[in-house]
Amino acid sequence: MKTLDIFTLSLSHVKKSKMRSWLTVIGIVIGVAAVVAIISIGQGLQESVQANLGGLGADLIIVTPGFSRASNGFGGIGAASGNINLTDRDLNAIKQVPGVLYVNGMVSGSSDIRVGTEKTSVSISGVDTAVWRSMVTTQLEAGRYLQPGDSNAVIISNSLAHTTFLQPITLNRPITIGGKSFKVVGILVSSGGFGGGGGDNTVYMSADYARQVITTNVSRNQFTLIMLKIADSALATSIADAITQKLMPERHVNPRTQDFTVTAFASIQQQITSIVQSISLFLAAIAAVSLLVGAVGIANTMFMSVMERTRQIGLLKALGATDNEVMKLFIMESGLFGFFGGIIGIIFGILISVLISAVGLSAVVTPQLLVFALAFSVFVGVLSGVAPARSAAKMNPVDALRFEQ
Amino acid sequence: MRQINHVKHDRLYGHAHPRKLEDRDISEFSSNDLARIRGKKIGFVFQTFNLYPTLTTIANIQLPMKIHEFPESDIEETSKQLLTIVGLAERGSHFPSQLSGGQQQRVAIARALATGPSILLADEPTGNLDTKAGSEIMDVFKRLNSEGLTIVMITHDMKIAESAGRVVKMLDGKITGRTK
Repeated sequence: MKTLDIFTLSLSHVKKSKMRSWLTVIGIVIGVAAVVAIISIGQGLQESVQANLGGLGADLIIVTPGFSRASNGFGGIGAASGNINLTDRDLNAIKQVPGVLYVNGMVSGSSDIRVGTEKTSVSISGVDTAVWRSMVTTQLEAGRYLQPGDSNAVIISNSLAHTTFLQPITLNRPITIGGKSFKVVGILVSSGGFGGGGGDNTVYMSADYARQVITTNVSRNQFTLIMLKIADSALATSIADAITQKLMPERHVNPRTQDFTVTAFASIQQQITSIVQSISLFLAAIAAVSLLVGAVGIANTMFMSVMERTRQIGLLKALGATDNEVMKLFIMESGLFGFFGGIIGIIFGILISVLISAVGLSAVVTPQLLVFALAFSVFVGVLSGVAPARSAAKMNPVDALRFEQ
Repeated sequence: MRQINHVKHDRLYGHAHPRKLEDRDISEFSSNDLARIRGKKIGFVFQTFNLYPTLTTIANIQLPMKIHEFPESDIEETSKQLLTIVGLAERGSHFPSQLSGGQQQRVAIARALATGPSILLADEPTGNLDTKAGSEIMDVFKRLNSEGLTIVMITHDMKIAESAGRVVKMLDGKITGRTK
């Protein structure tokens, strides 16, 4: 019997018992839709995390004072300590580490800002104006970056310019920070990028001015943070190690008394990415359980079908169909359930991810995911049909025809 | 009720003596060979028709030809001819459930003839039919027989048996009498 004819025969069964076919297919639809939706959410999560972290720059390394022994890298950013003691000796030592392009000694803190009659508190990020421009990853919306020799010039973050005050802060607007007068020379775009040490409501100025306006006391030649840019982000981890080795004798500490933390953004990215991947995988595994339930549904339907169609199987054999052909007939039928379930499940999965995107989470549906989902559901369908099909193929035609329902 | 099955079983699996089909001992055949022979050399007509419920009348007649991979053009032509022979030319697109018992049995006979078998085995073909439908089936059989087809038929109905060229009586699996 030609494969196409067997296929037509399978299809005639699927079409004839519509209710049962639909119920069987629904099991697969739910499974596939769940797998597609969850994997697309996982991929979306991964992409958005990478996009956000990508803005931080994989080629940046930060050195912060303080060291938390309980953490393994994440502590770096949060573990800023009260006693600020990174110095320009440290800065110069870091400059000598091979692979380091620029080193930016930064002074961060908070201060008051007054615009007209309004007053609020802001983060201050004091930077080395000579190198900051080469390291900042956030674009300018208006104006220019800071330059060496600027007097009383600041750059402000997007939200500070547009949303913090009733009146937006425009370029060249005089503002008062920590009692001193400044002029806005640039406004950053709003993005997940890393401007150089601060959060959303941040004013960037030269480190010297920052020392004068922030509430904490940072003496000359001291920094709260050293940020450096390296030539090759692939070497981030080894350069971070080299910096640690270089700074320890410089600061007269050993691994037990270490009082600074070196954090490569690339390694943070790797850790976060691997966490996101594990979460996605875990969720996909849960979704796969519902696909498994769908597969059991197909197997059940097919076993029922073989029972009910015993006489038809006998007839097919009496008419000359071989064991193989009978087996193919049932496997194709279960494969059809998998195929239709896969197609409809994919459509629902896409709908769910579109809905999720509309809500604000990101979900990314790739063609590879769709091909994988369809192939997998057909595979699941075929696999669940194997056992019933074998029992059908093994039937003796005489007994099968004699079978009373 | 199911004597024919035992005959088939005995015939196909050769329990008692070596049985020969076209000079070959059938016990030498593989199960797939037997399937081919069943389909091509022997036509089956059952008491309960055993039409394929998900296929139309014409597709039911085409089924054995498709199983034996007849050329597509032959399948079309032969199935239409057979449908006309059993007087159901207008019912080709109907499903078995839309036909009466007599009509279903005529479709079954057309199907049994599709591969051009040398023997037609009929297991109480009129057993589930009323007298009128039964005699219609017998008319078809007589016509086919007169055209040279061998028909082996099981029946409980002596009136039906009378139309046979040769009658063998059986009781509890044993031959109790022969006529003609």
